[in-house]
Amino acid sequence: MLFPTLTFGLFFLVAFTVVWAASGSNEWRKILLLLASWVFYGAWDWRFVALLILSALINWSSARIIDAIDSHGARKAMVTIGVIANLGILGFFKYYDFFLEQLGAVLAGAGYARDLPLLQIVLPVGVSFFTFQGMSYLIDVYRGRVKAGSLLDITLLMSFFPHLVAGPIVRASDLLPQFQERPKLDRGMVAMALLLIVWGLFKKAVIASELSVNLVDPVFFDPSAHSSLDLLIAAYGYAVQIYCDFSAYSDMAIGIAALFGYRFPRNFNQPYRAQSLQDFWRRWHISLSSWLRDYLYIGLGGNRGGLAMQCRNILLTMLLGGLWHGAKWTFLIWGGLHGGVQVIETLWRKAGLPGLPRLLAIVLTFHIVTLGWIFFRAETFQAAIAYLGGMMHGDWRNTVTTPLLAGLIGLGMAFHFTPPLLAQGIAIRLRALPAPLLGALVAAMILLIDAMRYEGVAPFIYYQF
Amino acid sequence: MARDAHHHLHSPVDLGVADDRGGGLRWASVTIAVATITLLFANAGTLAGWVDEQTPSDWQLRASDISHGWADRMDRIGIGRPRAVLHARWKQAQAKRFGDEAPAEAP
Repeated sequence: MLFPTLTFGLFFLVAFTVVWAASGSNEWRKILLLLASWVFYGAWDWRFVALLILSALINWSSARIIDAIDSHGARKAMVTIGVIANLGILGFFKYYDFFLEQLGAVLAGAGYARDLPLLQIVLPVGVSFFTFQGMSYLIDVYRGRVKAGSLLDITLLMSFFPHLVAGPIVRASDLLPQFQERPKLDRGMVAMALLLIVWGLFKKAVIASELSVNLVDPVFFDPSAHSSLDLLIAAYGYAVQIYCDFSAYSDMAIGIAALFGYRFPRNFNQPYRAQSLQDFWRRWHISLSSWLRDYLYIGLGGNRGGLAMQCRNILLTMLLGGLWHGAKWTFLIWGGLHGGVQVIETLWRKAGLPGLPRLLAIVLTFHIVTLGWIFFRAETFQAAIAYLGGMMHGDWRNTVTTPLLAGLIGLGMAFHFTPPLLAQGIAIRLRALPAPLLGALVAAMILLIDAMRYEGVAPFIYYQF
Repeated sequence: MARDAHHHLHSPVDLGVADDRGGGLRWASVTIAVATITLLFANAGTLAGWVDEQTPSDWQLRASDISHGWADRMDRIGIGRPRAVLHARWKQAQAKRFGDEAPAEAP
């Protein structure tokens, strides 16, 4: 069930009506939200609802045990078991076949070729998100940052449909306190929620879909059939597409959760105006980068232990962050590129070298990020290298870019240079409007988007992770 | 690695400027209801298209008849015209070229 579809729209209308009608009891409200979330997730495959419930049960019971025992050693053993259980689910569904294929290649290279038991496992939508959420909950309970929650709260925390399949990764410390009492809606929250939903719809259904279908997909499918200019513009196009696609999902998720009375954290903050890769990761997929920082980078030792250890930890964190996206070498290279550049930035700063002028830093950072996106988007390492090779051919004919596509790339970039609090300012004005007028305005915006959107809606890029 | 801790609890839906007006739920409900009804009138073709995509059944055939009848009625009144005009403009924009380039076929 995709957000920008009529099916989801009807699902939302029913869920909104039923959940708020039952809000006299906070417990019933949460039960209904949980059922709605399972219906939402079951629309992909009902079998995976069982996996979601199993995952919630593992995390709920592990946290209860951690909370109940006093011995530090036993608590540590329990959190380790819980984290391994989560990693086991993630590893089995996401990496089992990949690692077996690599093992097969190594064995074949050593002259011991074997038929290994590949399972062709279907990847449950959003498994990377809900397992990371489960792990952070366990670690937070272990560290004493949150108390162990009830079974209902933990199951809802992991299943809540707005963030279930593509984030943001909402921490237990953010959401569990909100589950404790019946939420209230205020006009500002509603106005901002509607604005985020409509804005997300525009970015996904118009910009990301148009760029994907008419520029990025055809060029990446067969780079050898395109000129250097086509390849260059398609790379920029993908940078804009993935931003508009993923940030659209986050915007809609935040907006939908807000209409049920819950606050999700910001997940994007004009990432392409970053002046360094470190700055980029403070602006892009913030819930993942902060997760990696708090639970992996700091866990590895962070910047304690000297400069060499800090650089090792940065590199390891980004490599594993790349692998989180999928079992492919291209994701590892993407993570390695981001990690490597951040190591250079750290060494540069430690050496006391002067920073680049702001505009140059933004342009350079954007191009490093776009280089990384080529590996991220390409099917294989060889395909990425062939793509980069094609960009060097020096054939500067335009064969694919139309004025509309160029305009959409420009528009996607222009969003990054608007005032950071522009949306909040608009929402403050919207909340003063009478409800019927705002309703008509929302309908007009949706109508406009529907008239512009590409026929059909492709799944969000981050659904595959 | 990003070192500066960002504030987790900061949500984009917190506007930072207090609003004393109550009745947020009622205001939201009316807004959503008006938007839904407006789209039911002004975008009836999309609803008919969605019904056609559902698995065929007696219910689906009946719903298809009703939704197409509704869309035809809205078209006769002219309510669907703004969307049709916008869509035609968008198609024109899609067809414009810098020169003789032709967008590649999607794989």
